[in-house]
Amino acid sequence: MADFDRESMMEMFSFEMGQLIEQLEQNIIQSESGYSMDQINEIFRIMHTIKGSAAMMLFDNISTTAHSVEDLFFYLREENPQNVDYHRLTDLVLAGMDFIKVELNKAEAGQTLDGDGSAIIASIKQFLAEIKGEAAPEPLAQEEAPAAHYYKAIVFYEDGCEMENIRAFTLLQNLNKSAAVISHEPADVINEESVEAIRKKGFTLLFSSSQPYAEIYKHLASTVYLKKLLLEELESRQAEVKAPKSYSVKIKFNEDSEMENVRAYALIHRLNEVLEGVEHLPVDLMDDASLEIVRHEGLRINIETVKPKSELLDILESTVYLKELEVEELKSEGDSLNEPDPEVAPAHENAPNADSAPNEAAPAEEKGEEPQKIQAPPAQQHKADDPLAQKKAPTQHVISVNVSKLDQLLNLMGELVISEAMVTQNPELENLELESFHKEARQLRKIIKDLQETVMSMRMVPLSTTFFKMHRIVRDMCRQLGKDVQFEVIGEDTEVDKNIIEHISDPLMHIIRNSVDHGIEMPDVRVASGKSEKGSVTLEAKNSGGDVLIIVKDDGKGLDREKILKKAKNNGLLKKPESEYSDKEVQQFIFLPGFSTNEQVTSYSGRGVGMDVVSTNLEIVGGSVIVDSVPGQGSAFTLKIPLTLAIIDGMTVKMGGAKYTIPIVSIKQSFKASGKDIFTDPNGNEMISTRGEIYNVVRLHEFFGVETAVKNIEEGILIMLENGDQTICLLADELVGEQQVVVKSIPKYFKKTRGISGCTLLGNGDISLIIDVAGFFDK
Amino acid sequence: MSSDNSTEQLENDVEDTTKDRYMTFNIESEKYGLEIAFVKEIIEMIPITRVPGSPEYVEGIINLRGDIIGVVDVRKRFGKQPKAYDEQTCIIVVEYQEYVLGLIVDSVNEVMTIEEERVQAPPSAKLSQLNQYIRNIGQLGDGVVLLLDLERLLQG
Repeated sequence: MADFDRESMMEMFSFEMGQLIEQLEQNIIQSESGYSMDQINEIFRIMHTIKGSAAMMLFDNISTTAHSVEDLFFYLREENPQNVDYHRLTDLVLAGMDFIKVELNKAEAGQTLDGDGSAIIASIKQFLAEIKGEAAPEPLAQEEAPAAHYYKAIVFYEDGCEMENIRAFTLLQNLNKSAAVISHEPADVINEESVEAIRKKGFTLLFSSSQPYAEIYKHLASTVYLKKLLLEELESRQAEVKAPKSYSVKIKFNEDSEMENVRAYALIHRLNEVLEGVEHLPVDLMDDASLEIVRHEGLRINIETVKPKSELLDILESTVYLKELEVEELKSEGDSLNEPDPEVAPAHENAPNADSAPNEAAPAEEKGEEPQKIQAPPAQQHKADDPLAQKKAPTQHVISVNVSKLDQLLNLMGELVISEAMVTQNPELENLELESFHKEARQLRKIIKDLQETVMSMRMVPLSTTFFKMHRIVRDMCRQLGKDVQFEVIGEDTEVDKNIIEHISDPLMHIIRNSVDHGIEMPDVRVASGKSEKGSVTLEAKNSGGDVLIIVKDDGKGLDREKILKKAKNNGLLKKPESEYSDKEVQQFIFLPGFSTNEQVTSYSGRGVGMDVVSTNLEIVGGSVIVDSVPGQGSAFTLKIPLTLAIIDGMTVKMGGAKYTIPIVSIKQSFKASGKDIFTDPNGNEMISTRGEIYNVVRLHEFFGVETAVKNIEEGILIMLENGDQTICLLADELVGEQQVVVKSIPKYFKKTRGISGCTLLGNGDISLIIDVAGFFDK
Repeated sequence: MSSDNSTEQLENDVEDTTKDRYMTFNIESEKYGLEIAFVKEIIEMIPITRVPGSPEYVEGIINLRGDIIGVVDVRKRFGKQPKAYDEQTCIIVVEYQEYVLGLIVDSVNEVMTIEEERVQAPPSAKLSQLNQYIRNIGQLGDGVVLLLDLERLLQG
């Protein structure tokens, strides 16, 4: 198997791992305060899959780490102990997961996986031991101690460890101290020929001992060069001659699952881990021809095993992209001996026992989070009461598309919008009688608009993934800082353009860190100031016109005006007397680079980087941030981000020979002013009164320092712009018209100009500058 | 084998066509040169949209077949007196690293070869405003060509 297509396996592996880790993270975070059985099952299942996949890819450190977490959850699931410190448990699982993530990144980058998971494994083991130590006695130990238990063990040694027979002999000697060995296979271990036999079939031991299963397992597991250990407790001495059963399995994968042979290989690998005697057809799964065979005729597996059927089914059913599964029990000739009872034989290795199998599969089904996990309709050999038998395989509705293709589609969409305008508004068409043309042009425009909406909707991604990351941040910080915070997320299914999401993850993280670190007080301080011990941080997303608002609200101590002013003074940022600064102005200081009022640098904040990242990152996507803070009661940070970057509805205006496009969402109205409504305050600020309200007038030509012929407000046009709760009236020469425009960025050569967010091409090829409305406020 | 050789030959030819080759243009009475490898195209004057808040010498942005590129008036950049654009005025579009920029020049001359041995460093003593954009000076029989340092010029 050395020449298998590692690249394609790696791709599948990293995709599946990514999904698993995401699910895992959500499960863990949700269950911090207490794990439900479903969640334990789910985490167990995920860890089991990670372990299996990683082992298949030969990423041993990932595999062993996942294994230890899996063991832990196996115990939780089986014993349901009551004395678990869930916080610590979560810490451990997250630590394990982080380790896996780091190693996974290395694997994706093609580096060697050199991380050492042994520290994490050790702490998980210790934790497990602690739970076990204090837990109710294990069921096996409850049995009367003196009664002898009968065991069957099969030991496999690592490849290339050599002298397997001598090792087997040593094992026998060691075992004789605590158990009475009845028989072993091969019988003559000293004989040279037995080396090959042990290599191939393992070293099988039948023995009796007064010790419980766990003890024996531990004892055997400590054997050096141990590759695999199968240990069973036998019902009675008679059961020792248990006959293996043969099963014939036929599996088909979903039509669109791709790489069926690689999936088949993965399945065989997993089976080989737990079962003996696995044969499969086609034999060479890495061959291209086998891909076709597996795809069309399915994968045939013959299994000869003493393991209960339930265990076999468990593995088979957990296969991803499974479409059809047939399991048939073959009656073999030599089957006249005692039938082992599959229900009684205890489960081991890591395969779950028969009773819990339906439980394990059920949560994944219900949550529907994993579209590729499909339970196959089982064959008639299934137990009639198996709930899985009722389930139908749903078809796959989601495909993954490369983001660069989506970007390209969007660019083409932009070109299409421009060229549509160029055709339908072509100057050569002016003054022509074109009734039919205009009708068809309208139809074309409608189709283009629908197409555009579809393209845009494809790029929309819910904020939930970004928001879930914040859970983790809040949690880790609370643990480290000794704070207690109730973190609530609202509206995480709000959708935003993919490109924008990438830019808000960092700002959001900084704001949340800031809220937990600076905002929320220590529990004792909170109690002293009459608040509940537990702080609260709320992360909320909602749509508001063409924007999405993301609000981070805490009930902490709020921003300290004096402290900020002092710091601003020290940094030489004050430009007028302190008393003249409004609270809003003071609060905006925290977004300046290098501004932190935390006296002590903590591992999370206080270094003065962070909040300025918020404003700069948001500026890139044309967003803004507003702080609202009440001392003693908390702060609220509102991030305002556009739904999409690419295409906006704009009103184009003319001023001084150039054209400017204003996003329609910001325009309240436009009107011609009459002289009697215009007045000037003593500072020379022009104002206009309309419908009983008074607004500031901003002259576009003055704002941009451009010459224009229209200087009289009455001659020009006033456009009322809205930004948050503020409103101004902007003076331009004249309106040109309303149209959709594709936002293009101003070339890099230019420095960012306040009030301009980009540019666009109009239908006639003219360039129009896109107005950044927020730039006209908060001067 | 023969096809390999000819491909190689072709590549050499391509390299040869740009090596030591300069696009020359005039500003006032001076003759300037740009390495031909950086020159994308030469276009006639088209309407330029000013971007508020940019320096005086940055004329604005133009629509070059759907791409928006910035345009710099080289006269103003060198601190010379502005001159009204006429039919001789051209925009040389240059591409350097990730920048694409248009340079407004009085008129475009010719593409000429200036061998390495005829190129020398400018006198280092006086770094006047103009001098800092000149990387080398090419000697011609009837005068000199000031070879521009595009990297410097692009550092807005």
